Amino acid sequence: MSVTTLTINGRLVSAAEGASILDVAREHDIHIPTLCHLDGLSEHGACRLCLVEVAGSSKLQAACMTKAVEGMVVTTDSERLRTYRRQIVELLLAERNHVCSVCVANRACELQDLAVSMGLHHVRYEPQAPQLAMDASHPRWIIDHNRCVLCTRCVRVCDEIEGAHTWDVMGRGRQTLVISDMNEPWGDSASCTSCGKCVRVCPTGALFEKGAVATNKDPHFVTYLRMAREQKLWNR
Amino acid sequence: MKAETMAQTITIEPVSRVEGHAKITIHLGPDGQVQDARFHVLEFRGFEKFCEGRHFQEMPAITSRVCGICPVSHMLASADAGDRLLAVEIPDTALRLRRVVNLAQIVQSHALSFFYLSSPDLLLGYDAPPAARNVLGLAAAHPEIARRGIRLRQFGQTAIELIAGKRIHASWAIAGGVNASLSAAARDQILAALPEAIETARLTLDWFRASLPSHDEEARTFGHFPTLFMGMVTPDGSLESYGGRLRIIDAHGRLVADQLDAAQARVLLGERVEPWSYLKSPFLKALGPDEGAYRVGPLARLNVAQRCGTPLADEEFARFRSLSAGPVLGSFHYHYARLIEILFGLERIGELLDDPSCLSTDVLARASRNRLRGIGMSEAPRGTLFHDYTVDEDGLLTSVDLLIATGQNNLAMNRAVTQIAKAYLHADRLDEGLLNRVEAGIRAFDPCLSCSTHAAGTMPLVVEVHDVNGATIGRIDRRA
Amino acid sequence: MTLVLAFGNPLRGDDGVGPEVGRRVAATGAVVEVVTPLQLLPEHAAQVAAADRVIFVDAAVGRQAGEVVTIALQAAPTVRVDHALTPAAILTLARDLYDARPPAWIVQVHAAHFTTGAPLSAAVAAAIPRAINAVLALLPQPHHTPPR
Repeated sequence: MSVTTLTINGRLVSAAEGASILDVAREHDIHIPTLCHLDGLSEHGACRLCLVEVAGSSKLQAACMTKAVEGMVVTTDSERLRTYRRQIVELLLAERNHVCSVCVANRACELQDLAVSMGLHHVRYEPQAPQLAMDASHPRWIIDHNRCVLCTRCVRVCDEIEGAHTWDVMGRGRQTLVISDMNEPWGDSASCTSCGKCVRVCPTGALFEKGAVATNKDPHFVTYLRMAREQKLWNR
Repeated sequence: MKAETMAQTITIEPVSRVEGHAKITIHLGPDGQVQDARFHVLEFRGFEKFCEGRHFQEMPAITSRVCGICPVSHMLASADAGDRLLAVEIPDTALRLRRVVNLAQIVQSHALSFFYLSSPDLLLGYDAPPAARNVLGLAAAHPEIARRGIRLRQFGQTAIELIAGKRIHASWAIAGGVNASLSAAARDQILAALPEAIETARLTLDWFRASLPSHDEEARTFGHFPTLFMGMVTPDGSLESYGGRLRIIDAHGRLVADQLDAAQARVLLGERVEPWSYLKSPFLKALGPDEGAYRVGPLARLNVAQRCGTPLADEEFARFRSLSAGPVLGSFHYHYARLIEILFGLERIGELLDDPSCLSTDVLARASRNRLRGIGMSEAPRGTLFHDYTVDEDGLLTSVDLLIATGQNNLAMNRAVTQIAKAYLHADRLDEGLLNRVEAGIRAFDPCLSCSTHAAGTMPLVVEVHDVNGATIGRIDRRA
Repeated sequence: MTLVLAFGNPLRGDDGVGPEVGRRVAATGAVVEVVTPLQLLPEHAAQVAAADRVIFVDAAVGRQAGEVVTIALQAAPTVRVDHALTPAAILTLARDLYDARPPAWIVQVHAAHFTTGAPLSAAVAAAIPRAINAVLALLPQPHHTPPR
């Protein structure tokens, strides 16, 4: 197997061929914030939080979608990157209705954790405050589009792990919405197996259990499922 | 308008040491004597509206944000409404734990009301200067009472935290039961702290009872009038704070209605909206807004109950009831009732936690929505609290109605202010003594405006005297 | 132990600066106990009484927004009290109830506005590092142990 050598934050690091910048950084304990990325699922590049600077390119690159290349010089942390990342989180918070104090995911929310890690507690952008419906037709779970950040983890886990492909994305821009089947009520979905994986991987309170006052999010079980399925290893 | 029909109004705003923002106007008649007084509530938060569209199972967590003072009462009334939408009977242990938490809430809130807010008036006198007539003055003059008050409030708050998690804005009770059982260690910690708390309640009662003769005048003038009373009782008519039925009695102690569930009680109550206040004025529909005015809260609960049901509280209950041949009508005795409820609450917490079933992990009944409307209730520290939810088939709320304890005392508070003004306002003299007594009269009810009107923040009080044309002829502003 | 009582309401614009400074002081790893209530209550006197020194952190008005001022505090003989208590009132309670007189200071961050739901003003947000340093400067200096 050939090995690639590149520089991240001034450190010379080696990477397996085909690895993404994000993979390499993580392997070397270099932290890059992420939101849509989830170990065990395909990359989607939706949230742009993992943007990094690559020498020789004025364009920022998403670390999850960019392959590590021999001789590449990458910077994962700079004032410019911090500013952009902060703006991204602020825009996510302004886009829909994120009210932590009355949210089931309060203190168990990856979006909230990101905001806290950036020392962000107020948003400078005008809240869009869209009037989005909740779909509570499923007997066990609710989808509240007001809290959805369109990371598509639910879509990917349903397709790639469960194999049901109940969820998908409809519309463009600010009209984008996660839908079940052909935009039918979730409770009427013929494809949904009621496995609950989507609820577990959702980073916010957009997917939550009825009757729960705090969500039990557990996104890392996807890694476990993959290990169990592919390597017959059942260690949690 | 002819000069001889000119009347005057006095306004007091904001009431210090009352949660929320209030103004009092005193209306003088053409003869310069007090004709009427009104307690105005000037803030509005619209909680009911923004809950529409949410799922009913989120409501215990959301409505516990209505108020920073009694989040627990809202959480429990909301969970009770949720139980009704599920159409389930919750497990015994869940009911037991909810009762303990509700009693702990009553203890801590009553301790705040009595020790921090009211006892300075009682111990230092209404004519003491405002700079001394507060918790600091209390600490200087009676440090032992102040220390005990602080410890007692901590007992209630710690018990809530140990059982329900976060001290403020707990979201532990949910439709169908509770989301966490009780550990033996937490139970033992609560039980270990009980004897000191009970001793504090008893010592305070001894002192309060001994001081009663010196408060005879207040007992007669601070809102002493006939009304109906409403409060929760057990099936055998003992005092209850959660999971019981309602009883309504008249001023002579005769039963008007008994063993009502929240839905049955709710249909008996009408609401009057006054243009001068955001606080709605509920009354018993069958009797109309005057005859049908009722009081809720500690005084009402002790008037409707035949006994407390715990030994020490029942000894004191007998003394309390001997104050009057029928129900105790003086609103000043809300203070007395509050102290008895503290003692009762502590004793009952002990009984509820002494039973090993309190540690059962069977604390949640699971069900789907089975009804479209659910009305729940709890006895909040200030009185009966109703949560009335209507949902669609998916359980999304289409209408939310919160009927708050302070609102139900609204008509009685207006009468109390009128009575105090009649007794202490002479020849339009707007002095500190009057102001202090009007405030103390209102404070006897321990109104919490933040939740009854859904106001944010706290604000002190202004009193204004108006004539019949609305012209202000006197005003005291208590804002610093 | 040093008690940092950093109070204020984060839903009220710059009034939230106290709790924010408190949290950030705790995050520095300084050996302090940080409490961040919405307002001061009599029971805080019990916590004050148990502390070796007390540092209050609060928003203030009267100077240029963003100015950070440290003032030494003492129990006051009489203090006007309504619903919320002042730091001096808490010290008075600690003295009268628990015979405790811990040295106390307040670090004030002068505010621009207290608008409901509004963020910290730029001036106050920029003052936070200075406020943190002001708190840290009041902590006992660590004793230097000579290297072995």
